[in-house]
Amino acid sequence: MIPPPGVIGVGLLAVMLVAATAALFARDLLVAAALFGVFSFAAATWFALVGAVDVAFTEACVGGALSTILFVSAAHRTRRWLD
Amino acid sequence: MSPAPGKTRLRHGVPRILGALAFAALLGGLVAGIRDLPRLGDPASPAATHVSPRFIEAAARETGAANMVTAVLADYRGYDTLGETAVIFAAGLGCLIILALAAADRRETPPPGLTHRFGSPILDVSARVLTPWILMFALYVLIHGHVSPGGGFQGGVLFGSGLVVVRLVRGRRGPAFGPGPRAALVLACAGVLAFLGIGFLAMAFGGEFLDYGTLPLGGDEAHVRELATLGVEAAVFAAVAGTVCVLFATISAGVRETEAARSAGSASPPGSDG
Amino acid sequence: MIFGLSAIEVVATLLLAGSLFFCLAAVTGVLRLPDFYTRLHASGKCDTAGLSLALVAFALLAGDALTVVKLAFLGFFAAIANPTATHALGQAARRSGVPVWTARHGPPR
Repeated sequence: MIPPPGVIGVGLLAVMLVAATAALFARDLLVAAALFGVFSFAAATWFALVGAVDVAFTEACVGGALSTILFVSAAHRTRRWLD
Repeated sequence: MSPAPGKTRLRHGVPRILGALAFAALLGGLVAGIRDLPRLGDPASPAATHVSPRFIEAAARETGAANMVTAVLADYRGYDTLGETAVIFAAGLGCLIILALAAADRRETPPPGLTHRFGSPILDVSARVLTPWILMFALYVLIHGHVSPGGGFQGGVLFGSGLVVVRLVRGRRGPAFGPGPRAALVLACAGVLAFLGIGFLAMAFGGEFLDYGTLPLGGDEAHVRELATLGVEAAVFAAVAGTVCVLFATISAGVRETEAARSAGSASPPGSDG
Repeated sequence: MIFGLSAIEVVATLLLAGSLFFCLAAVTGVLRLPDFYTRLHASGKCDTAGLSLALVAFALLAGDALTVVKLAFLGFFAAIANPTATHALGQAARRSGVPVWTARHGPPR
């Protein structure tokens, strides 16, 4: 049986929601990339909490590490600030 | 009629309202649809009553993989995984094509707001210490995917990330480590082709596409499937690791390293005493 | 036996309390210190200390050799990667010309 998410799960979901919204509205693309990393690690922790360890592993690898690197590189290539 | 500089036309007027309406309609539909979903982890949901018991009961016996996720991803649902691998490979190719075309008429001014400067003994030593462990852990994740979380995809991402870390620390002009962009592209192609090849090999020996049971690897069927699953995971590993390297190489190729950066930043930075 | 806890559990609790103190110090430092470098100083040092103490506490409570080894690996990697990340951030900020707070800037907020 999968345990209910509980207080920690709800807290993680709230962190994900706040981080995702803040990343949408960030004017600085580096801040947006960092917030997306926060979102990814919270999501990975939540996946692990509900028992999807493989998914959590993938999310931590791809979302937390690799996407952040690629986003920062892409920001280098274009520009840092949104008008 | 060209848009004003710094603003796209989509920010104002009818398209924006239409976009907002479409988004609201989609969001409303999705939220309304949530009510019809089975509860999270409901044992009486359709997926849990028909498909899951079969996998839970038979996966270890039929495929030799104690980690059910690996059994499902690489064996029962091998076709899905083939599609995913092809999508990731296509993403790498798309990045390569678009950015290589953009590099042909690259601006000579660096993009505003960011400069990229390399060079620090501390970073170099840390990368030297950590990278072998990262790469070894990637291989462990690949090989150990049968019994613990992980598999080709995660291992490939880790391996690619380990190589990317060295690039990040040393810069493009630093000593080369790992495959260059061309070798990485070849690696990614080889991974996708190896996956397809294993699938067609199963057909050649009288089975269905990606149905590994008929491969002449010796031993009983579960053992054969275990070996074939490892082969498929290794193919995914190569495809993903190669694609990661290609993605990073193409995306970071436009980052300019300034003259000051190449002299390893011994000069005093501007504005540091403000 | 103190409060129904074994000696190992008491030590682990104390270590966790220390870890919590360092994490709290890191948060306080990031919120209260005046500029980027001092905040980095607080977060880098206190995070590493807090994480190390927590890992030692977990290792004491684990009771399983494999878990202890894994936790030791975690501590090893964190001990290398965390200060390195702090160094990289500080170096990048200095090279990008992030201003250093001095007494001329007035008292910290």
